[in-house]
Amino acid sequence: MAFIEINNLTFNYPNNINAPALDELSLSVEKGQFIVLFGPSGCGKSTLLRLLKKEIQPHGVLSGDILFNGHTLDEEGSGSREVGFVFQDPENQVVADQVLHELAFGLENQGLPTNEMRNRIAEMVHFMGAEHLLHRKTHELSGGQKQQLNLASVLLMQPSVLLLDEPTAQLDPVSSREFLDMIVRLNEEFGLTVIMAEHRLEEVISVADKIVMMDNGRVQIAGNPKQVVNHIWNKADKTYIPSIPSFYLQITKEVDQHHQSVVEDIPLTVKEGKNWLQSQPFIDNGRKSELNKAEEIDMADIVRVNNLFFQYEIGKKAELILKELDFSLRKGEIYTLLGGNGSGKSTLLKVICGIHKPQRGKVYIYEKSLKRWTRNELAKSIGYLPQNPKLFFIQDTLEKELQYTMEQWDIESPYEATTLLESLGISHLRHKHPYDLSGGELQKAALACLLLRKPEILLLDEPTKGLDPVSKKQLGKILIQLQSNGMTVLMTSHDVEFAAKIADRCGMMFEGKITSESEPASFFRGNFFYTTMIQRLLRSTPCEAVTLEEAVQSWKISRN
Amino acid sequence: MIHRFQDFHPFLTFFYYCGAILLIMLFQHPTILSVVLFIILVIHFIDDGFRSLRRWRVLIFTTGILILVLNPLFNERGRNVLFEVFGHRVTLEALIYGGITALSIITIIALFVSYNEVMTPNKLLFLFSKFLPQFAILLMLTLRFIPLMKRRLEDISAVQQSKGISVHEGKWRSKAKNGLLYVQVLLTYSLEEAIQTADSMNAREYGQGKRSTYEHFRFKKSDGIALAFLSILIFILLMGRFNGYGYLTIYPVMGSLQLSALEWFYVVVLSLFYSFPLLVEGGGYLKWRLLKSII
Amino acid sequence: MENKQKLKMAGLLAISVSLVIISVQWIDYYLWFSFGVVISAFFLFLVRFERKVIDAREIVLLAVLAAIAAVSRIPFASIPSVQPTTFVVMMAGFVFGKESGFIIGVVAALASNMILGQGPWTPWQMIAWGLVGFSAGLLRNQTFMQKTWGKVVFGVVWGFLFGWIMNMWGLIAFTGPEGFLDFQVLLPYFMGSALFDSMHAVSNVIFLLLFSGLWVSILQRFKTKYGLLE
Repeated sequence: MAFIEINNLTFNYPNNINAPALDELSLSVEKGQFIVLFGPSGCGKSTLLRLLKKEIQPHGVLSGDILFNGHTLDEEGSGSREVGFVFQDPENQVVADQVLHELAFGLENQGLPTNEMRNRIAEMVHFMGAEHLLHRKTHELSGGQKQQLNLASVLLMQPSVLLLDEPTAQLDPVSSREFLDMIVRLNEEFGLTVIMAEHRLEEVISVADKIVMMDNGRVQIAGNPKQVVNHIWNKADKTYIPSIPSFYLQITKEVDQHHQSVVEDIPLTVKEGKNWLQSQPFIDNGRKSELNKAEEIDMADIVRVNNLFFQYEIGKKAELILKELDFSLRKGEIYTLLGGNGSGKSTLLKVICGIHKPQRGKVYIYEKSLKRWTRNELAKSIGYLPQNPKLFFIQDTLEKELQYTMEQWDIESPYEATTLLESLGISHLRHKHPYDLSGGELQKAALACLLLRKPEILLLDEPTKGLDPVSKKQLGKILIQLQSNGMTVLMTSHDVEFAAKIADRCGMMFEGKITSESEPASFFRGNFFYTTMIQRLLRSTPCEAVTLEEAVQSWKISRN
Repeated sequence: MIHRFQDFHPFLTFFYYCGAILLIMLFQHPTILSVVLFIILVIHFIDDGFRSLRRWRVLIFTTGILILVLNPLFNERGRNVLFEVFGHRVTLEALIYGGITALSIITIIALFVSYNEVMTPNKLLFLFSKFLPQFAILLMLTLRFIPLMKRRLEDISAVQQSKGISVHEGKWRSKAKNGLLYVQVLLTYSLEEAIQTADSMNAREYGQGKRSTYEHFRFKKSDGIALAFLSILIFILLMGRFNGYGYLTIYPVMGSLQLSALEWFYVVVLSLFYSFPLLVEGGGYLKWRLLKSII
Repeated sequence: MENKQKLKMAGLLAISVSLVIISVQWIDYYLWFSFGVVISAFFLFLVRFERKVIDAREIVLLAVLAAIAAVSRIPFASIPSVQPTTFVVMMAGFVFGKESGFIIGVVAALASNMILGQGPWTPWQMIAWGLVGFSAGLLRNQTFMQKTWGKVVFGVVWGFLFGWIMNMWGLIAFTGPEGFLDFQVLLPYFMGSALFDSMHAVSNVIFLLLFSGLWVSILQRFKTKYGLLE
């Protein structure tokens, strides 16, 4: 008998009887396993996780069994109270204004005496190394710290199973790494059973015991990571496979179409990849395609920033967010700003589109000083998409929002909106409430409303945050398409893989300045940590590729 | 800093401030109020050299002066006419009456400034959780949401501004309309997100059984002694006040401004009450010096 | 149910009558007595709230509305004399009823004062906004509230009433604890605040006319979504 047994589980949401969220799903979990669920948005990952936690089960029609230690969730002794749940959004889970109150919240609900609470909290704070945060206000914590706090307050209730619903989707790479390390530690050192939904497999694939691919409420395939990777490569959407195993599989298939790769040989980490790579020939350094692209770009600057200073609060002590910043954006390019949290990336975008007024320095758009642009002119030429596209919408359907935009900008022909929606592939979402859309759909919807006013510059703040790989790929395509129609794009990102793939130039921001800047190939080759998986893999070889496609191409050339 | 007073149990500090306000409202006599105000100013000075009080100086002075001036201007009652302007009688009664009210308002505001320093939101929340636990949770959630909503409003105004929907330009009416549109986006967005907050509460077993409270503060013996001390002082003062002492009658006939011997006794008791934070601070300091000299 | 309602009405009547008698009998203590009544009614409400079993969703909803009411002034920083908090509390009372409306108003005032610093005005603000929410909930099913003129009157009345309640702490200052009211003294005081109050009234009316329909439907949608059906 497995620890958790899920047999033929079918679940229908009340408003959607015809399409079950879960369809005859079966899965078993052993004690102490680390399980990763992945699949496209809406595949049923979150529903499955929620059904495992009695207190937050969604309303709907449920059939099939969920057994904990052979008991159903409603039975006494099933240990269903020992299930801890961490949600996706770090912000929404916090209920208290102070860290200590937050930690005590669950324990108070259990009715524990103060002494017991104090002991548990002391132990937890020590384990997490968070003594200095105990009396802080929760709203002062960073996203990563908030998610750690949420984890801590769940762990204090001493669960034996931890369910996590895309816990790192809203975090930057550094915090996300820290968070996952903590989960791995809990799994390895304390034998905690972990079931996590996640769509960035890169970081979890090497630590999971079992990965489960879901689609349409069913398990497509479940098993150890290497087997699953091999299976997906042959059968399903390859987008989910991280770049190192992808590279391996593509090359071995290239050598021999009928070759059945040995599953155990598939490398998952850079270390395994390097071992395998030693047996491969690599001579060429071809990035020839890149050069052609660079020539196409018009070298004229569309945005120029000179010696810019910006701070949020006026005063001597207030921190300068942007400092002596020089920057220029060329017409028709895609430029990606990379850099840590608080380096000033988002602030720069807001200064360029006129939301914040700089204290010193000049911003020129089309050689005309920003100060001389009226708000309406600016809004017409620059489209700004925030990190959280939900805040973009005022109306309660996409249709109404488009109408409102058309009225605001005196656009009469409804034809424009229709073609725009079609080209983005979201015509069927016209009458939906924006908040009912998935992350990828929502972003496209906001883009549609932005593009309707025909801006010439697009500013995107972290456009890949929280997107699943499929939506991310689509976004890349959309941006390239826009670029070919003459759009200039400036975006911030933490996603080096995405930047390497679509950017013409990348810039690194640090302490309010751009410290290095060049096209992706040389930009990432110059970096040691802040670079793509493929570049890390190929570092000691003569190959200078930074993306998967380039690596494969360069491998092909060197083979011939 | 008046550390020792701040280290008392929140119930005791709260009791002190409630009593302090009640006594100001009862003892309406210029001399007594001046003594009280003086003591409160001393507390402020020792606490932080008037730093926190300074932020309120505009409010304190304007209300004080306004009341002092306006009262004789509109109030002609009283027998002792000081002078007449354009047929308007300015009476001593009205002047003193205005003085008393101005004094008590200033004293109350000064008291609140010190209250805000000592009774942190954390302490107040703790008190509520003892007496009104469910209300305390609501208050805690609200206090947690307010900074979050502020940040969301900033984000909303950034995006909407970039779309050309601004509160900085245009007519009053359109600005007001756009402003409330921001709030409306905040409302829909936050209500949508907050379901997850409720889920996170449920996932941590909120409402499953009887709740306990984390005792952030312990009621110590010293708190008990202090409570008894303050209660006795209040009792003495209330008895005195109900026997008609410590109070200046103005209408219909103004009483004497002079305090009787017995009333001076009440002034001493009153001073003992108000200077409680100073007494504990001084007592602690003496003890510490004494210990040091012995070693 | 009907009996209970009658009992409540009788209780309310008894309180008001005794208040009148007391104030006639001991005119000097009129203010003290009315404070006493207000404060005890206030605590009765809190105790009632405490007795109710409120699940996580409902309490979160109340907190969100209170927090929004508290911060709603921020976008209007550049526009003087607009007070959206009153509007938000009114809408909450309209949709969620008198008790929720009252609690939201009270908590909004208390929480924002706890952050910005409390003063003698804190209790008055709590009572004023609490009553805004309470009255909105109480009158929501009246036919005149569905009509435009009803909303206009409601908004105007609260614009002034709010100011008067807030003047109460100043009022004691002008009358002293003797509890004696001199209208000649009060008149200029109230006139002075009338300017602000009329701005408050105007913004109430504008918000009610432009937004109340939309807000009611938004809040109704969430009422269903949060599973709060009456």
